[in-house]
Amino acid sequence: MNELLFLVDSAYNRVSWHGTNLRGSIRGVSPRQAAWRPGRGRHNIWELVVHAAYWKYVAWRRLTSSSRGSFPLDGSNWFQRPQDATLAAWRSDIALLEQMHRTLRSAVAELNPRDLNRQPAKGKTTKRALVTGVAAHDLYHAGQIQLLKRLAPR
Amino acid sequence: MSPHVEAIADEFTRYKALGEAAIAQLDDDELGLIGSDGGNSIVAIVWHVAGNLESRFADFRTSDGEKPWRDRDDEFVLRTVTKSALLEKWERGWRAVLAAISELTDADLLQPVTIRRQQLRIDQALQRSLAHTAYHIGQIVFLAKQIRSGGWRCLSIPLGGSAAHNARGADESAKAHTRMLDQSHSIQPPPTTTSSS
Repeated sequence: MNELLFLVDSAYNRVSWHGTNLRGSIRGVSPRQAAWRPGRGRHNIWELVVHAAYWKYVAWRRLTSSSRGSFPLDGSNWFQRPQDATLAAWRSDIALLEQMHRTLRSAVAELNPRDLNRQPAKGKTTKRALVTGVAAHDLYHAGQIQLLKRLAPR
Repeated sequence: MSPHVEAIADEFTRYKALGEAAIAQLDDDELGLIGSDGGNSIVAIVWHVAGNLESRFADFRTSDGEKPWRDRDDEFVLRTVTKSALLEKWERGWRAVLAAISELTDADLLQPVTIRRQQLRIDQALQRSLAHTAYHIGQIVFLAKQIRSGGWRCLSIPLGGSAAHNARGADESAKAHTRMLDQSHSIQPPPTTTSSS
């Protein structure tokens, strides 16, 4: 499982050759920067962070076929942010992302290598594909956060 | 195709379709636009992604992935191109990676390849490339959305459509996403040309 852990960690917070990963992309970002939108109806950094947290949760649930636990926020996929444009609220959502990453990587660490090419009970992709996909998803949005930071007023 | 190789190939294909669905929504004269921050245009990012893929995956198993003929700095030079020329460049890069992957089986993944004189296993090289590609395609989609603004056609679950999507138990595999993008953003690929490698 070391390879898959390396994959999800490189995309999230492990120093990696490809440059900024998701956690690195929000380092030092203020609540004001995180809340800034490039246009009407466009997502801000804050929403991308919670969206990434949500999909880590979904991947965890599918990997474990767990019926226990639910995402701590009401809703799914996209969550309007900020509800409260404070540093505390921003840190709370970053903590949510951290928590979802830790939970996901625990599930990845516990995967049985023989199960990797099997589909979870309710899923349509293999467990290996799920892990590959969620790692790429982190980087897809990290690239966008890097652009949002350049555009957002400090 | 072997399951591990297939999982990687499907993700590459998903991001290719995302990039194409974004580019399809822009006109020729919008592709080279540079934002107010002075960052790279979609043309520059496409040139970089395609140049990287072509270099890494031409003669993938027998030569260093950083080819002597690649001019990385030139990928970021300002250039004015038509969408057709852009897609031709794009396809050259993608043909290289998808052809290389199509020749692999899971048994090959622990074999060595060399990139910038560093030896990596094939699975590591593929994952590194996927990471790099996903990162930049996120930027292409962002920039295209920024340029197209109000007329943007959504590339994933539409805003406000999550509940219905979840209730349908929709297939969220990379293959299904690629199919959806291909159907809703149909573009004509440029004619096949021989790779410069």
